[in-house]
Amino acid sequence: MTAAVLADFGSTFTKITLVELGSGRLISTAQSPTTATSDVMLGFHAALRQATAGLETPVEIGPKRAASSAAGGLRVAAVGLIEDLTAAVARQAALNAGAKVGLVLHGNLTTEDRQALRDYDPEVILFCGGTDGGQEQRVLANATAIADAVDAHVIVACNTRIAEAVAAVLSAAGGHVEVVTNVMPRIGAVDIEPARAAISEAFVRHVIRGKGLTEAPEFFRDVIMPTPEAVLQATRLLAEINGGVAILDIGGATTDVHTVTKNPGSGPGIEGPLVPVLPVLRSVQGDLGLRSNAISVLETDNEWLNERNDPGTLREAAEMRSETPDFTARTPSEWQVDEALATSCAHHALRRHCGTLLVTSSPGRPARISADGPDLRELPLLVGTGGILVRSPQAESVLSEAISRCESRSLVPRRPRIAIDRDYILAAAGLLADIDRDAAARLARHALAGSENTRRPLQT
Amino acid sequence: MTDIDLRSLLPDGLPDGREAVEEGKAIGRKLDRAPSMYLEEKGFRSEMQYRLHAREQGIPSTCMNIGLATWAETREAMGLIYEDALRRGVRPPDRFNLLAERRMGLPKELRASAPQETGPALWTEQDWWELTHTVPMQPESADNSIGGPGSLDNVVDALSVGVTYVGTFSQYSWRWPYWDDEVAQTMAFLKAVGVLAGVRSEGVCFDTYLEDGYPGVFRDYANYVGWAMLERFIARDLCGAEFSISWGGLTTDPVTKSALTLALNDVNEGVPNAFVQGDTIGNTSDIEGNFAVMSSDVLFMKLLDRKYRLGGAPIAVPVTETERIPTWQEVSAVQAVSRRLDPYAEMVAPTIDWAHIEALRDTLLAGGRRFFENAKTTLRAAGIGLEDPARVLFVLRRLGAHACEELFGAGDVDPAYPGGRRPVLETDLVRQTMRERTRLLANLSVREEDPRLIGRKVVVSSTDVHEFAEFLLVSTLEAVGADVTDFGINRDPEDIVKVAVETAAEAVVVTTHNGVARSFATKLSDELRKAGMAETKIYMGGVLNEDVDGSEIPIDVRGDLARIGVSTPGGIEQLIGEIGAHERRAAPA
Repeated sequence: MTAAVLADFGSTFTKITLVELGSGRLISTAQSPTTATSDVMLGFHAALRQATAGLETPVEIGPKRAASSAAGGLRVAAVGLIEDLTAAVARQAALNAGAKVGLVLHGNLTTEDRQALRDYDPEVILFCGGTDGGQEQRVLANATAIADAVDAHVIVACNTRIAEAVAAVLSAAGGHVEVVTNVMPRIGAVDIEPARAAISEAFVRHVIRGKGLTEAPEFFRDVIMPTPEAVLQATRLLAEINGGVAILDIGGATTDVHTVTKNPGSGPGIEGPLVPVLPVLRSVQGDLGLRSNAISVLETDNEWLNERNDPGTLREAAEMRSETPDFTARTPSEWQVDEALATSCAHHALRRHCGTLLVTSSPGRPARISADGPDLRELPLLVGTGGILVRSPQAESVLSEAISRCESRSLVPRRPRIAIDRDYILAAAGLLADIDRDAAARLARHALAGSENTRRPLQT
Repeated sequence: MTDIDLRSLLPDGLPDGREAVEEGKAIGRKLDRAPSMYLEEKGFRSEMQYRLHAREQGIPSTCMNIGLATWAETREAMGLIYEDALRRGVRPPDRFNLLAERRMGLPKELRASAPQETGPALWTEQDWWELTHTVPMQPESADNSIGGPGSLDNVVDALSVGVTYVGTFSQYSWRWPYWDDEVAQTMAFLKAVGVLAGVRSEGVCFDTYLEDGYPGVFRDYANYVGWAMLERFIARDLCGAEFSISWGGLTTDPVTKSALTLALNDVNEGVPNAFVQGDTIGNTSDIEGNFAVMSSDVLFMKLLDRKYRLGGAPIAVPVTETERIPTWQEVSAVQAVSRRLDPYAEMVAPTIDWAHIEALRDTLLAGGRRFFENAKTTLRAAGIGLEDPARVLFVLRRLGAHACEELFGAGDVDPAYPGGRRPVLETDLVRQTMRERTRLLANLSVREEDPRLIGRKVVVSSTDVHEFAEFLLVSTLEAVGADVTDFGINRDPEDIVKVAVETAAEAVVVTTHNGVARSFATKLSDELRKAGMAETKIYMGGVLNEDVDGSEIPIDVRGDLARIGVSTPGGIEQLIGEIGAHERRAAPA
């Protein structure tokens, strides 16, 4: 039996998943603390030993693929011209590449913007602006404004007509610059895939080399994407099988939502946002997490949480969690707190990710009905993942409750099948797709089939 | 189906429409009603009853529209037309729609103080009496009768003197100057419908004219049928009034018109519809040639009527109508032609194979049912319900025509089509727009190419839902080589500026029809300046007026636009000339 080795170098743990090639059968999983400060391969091998120890049938180690979010993951700054046009598209391209996008610059860039870029110190800059054949002067001026601000890998995805000139400006100060297709070639058209692929490639070829994680060449050979991108790949796989899916990844610091749907628009009679909604979307709620951001969750969802829990006890529990990132719930009351916070994370993350229907009217004019994000009401499947959620006995109820709390204007999935990634293997499935897509699909399907199906309609 | 909460469109404290209807019924039941001259002559209590008799006997009916500058002139014309028909040896028209002055839509106590517009107004009991007792032609109180805040006054006056088809449901979506109270308008409307419900057993009918309402801008004929079902549901099922579905002015294809007339007859379960309006879009400035349009249109309606015993009344459109208000002689002439077509209809009707038209009718009915079900489902799911006619009417009014067609439409969802649906049967208005586009492009192709237009960066959009104008602008500018960004309809100034920046637009072209020209242009100009795009030239076209407090009629603001620096070319061809002539910047902004 030959096993694919799928590794995820996380910020806290390095996880190994062994999957039988061909069948996609899960063989084993194991994890060990990430050894980022010494050599990440130490943690990798420790986890691999655990994964292979005690197997009834010995395995031959086959191809390896890995994702990494160690040492801060992938830090990207997005630059565009108009905040809700090219800047918004740039941000989404970076998010879809699995990046953290801690800085978005737009408008006519100033010295303050240049300083903000220095302070953020991104590993990659995605530089956008102007439709093809459109704005040139301001985009070139923006390139000049930030030309040598930081030593980052720059991806130019702006007005094609001046892209080479922009690249020349940005590379004059040294550093690697590459040109890809404009993310917004014309108004109403969005094409983020080339930029997204370039960011992912930049991560693999350049960024992880700069993190000092190891000297081992196999690490650089096997790491093929940032961790969130592995989950997004798994989302695409599940969407092919199910006709659309949302994956909710509730972590210690953030809650990520990945959705893939064929038709994210709301249909006739409803105006969409200025930039067409993308069928593949990732959003990151940087204030919603079960450990380092537990206090932030409490503050975000104060009323709902305090109605259901003793406020004093809850506050204490949240403070403890924020100070103890590796806290693991063991008692029923500890699980209750985790589940309550997870419900809040899931509810707000989904609500923010999906669009809302707005009905506005003014005297003498027809009403306008508009959606400000993707319409995911018909999404058939919602999957929960994340190290804490997958171990919760009430994980399905957490997601059910999160949806049923949403108001009727929200475009969250209404009646999805709910499944939990109990084996915590979705990222592994996303990696396996690079080796054997069919096996990856079987792995993903099987992993979710084992979880309880809950269908609770959205209360309106 | 879309699930939207539309309750926010309802005003606080909207009274229960069912109570208004009941109040109206009580008024109707107590009303003293005199028969009209026409009905006395025919020996029937109501026009509908006569029509039922006439269709059984194969007696064709005809209708005309009349509304001269004043009631006195209109009354005189009625008499002259009647006499002229007799002189010509034809039966005079059976009925007419009074095209009353707009003030008639207001409550009586407000009419005198509103500015006079053109058209007959009935001020006194004597005026109303003369409506039905000048000549034996049956009037319908149609324009500015039921629909506005004066609905109750008008329906009582009309019924009292022997009018038995009273319109017009579709005009509920209209606005009247000097009146902003939509709640009061809705209640007056529903009371008036209640009055009609109260006398339903006497053969009184509530009429609509589809093209005066939302269907007049629909892209799909199946949605016409669906909208008719919806109006009928409100009038008949919710309010209890008998209903009539008149339609027809914006359709020129006789096959389509026949199929749709049959479909609407089915919708109304054989209740004779008041009239079928003649084709008003097929005419050109060739006056004699327009006789062909009129004759073809009326002949088909007569053939249909003869074959299917509809009991309808086609309106022959005067051949000068596109050029000016027709004289009474011109109205009379086409009425005579209409009567002269009867023997031809009799000869030809039995020979026609109607299968194709019947199949088209069935397709339209199926589509109409889809529209109707979509409307009901949406209204239920939106928290509006289907019980209180005030709630239903109000939300439909607030949504507007385009939103209703897009939300409820019969066509399959297809983003490639305007409005996001593939039409079951595209309307003649859409086809006409496409022909106009072809004409414009053909004219341009024989012009010498203007190199100043090549690559000129232009953003085109509309402030409202008028997509046809926007579509023609985009097509034409693309055809002359401009680099066009089609930014669509319902756009705000701020968003246009965002697009102008990203595209480095040299010109912004805006079409507007919703009374916001000046405020929109001012905001657009300011935002362009703030964004450092002051050199981007603004062009505006459409209906260049502004709704202004203190003036009940929108004011023309072309002077103000010029002062802001906005150009207002008279047409698309002029626009192209001006864009080409505008000095180009040395380098894009």
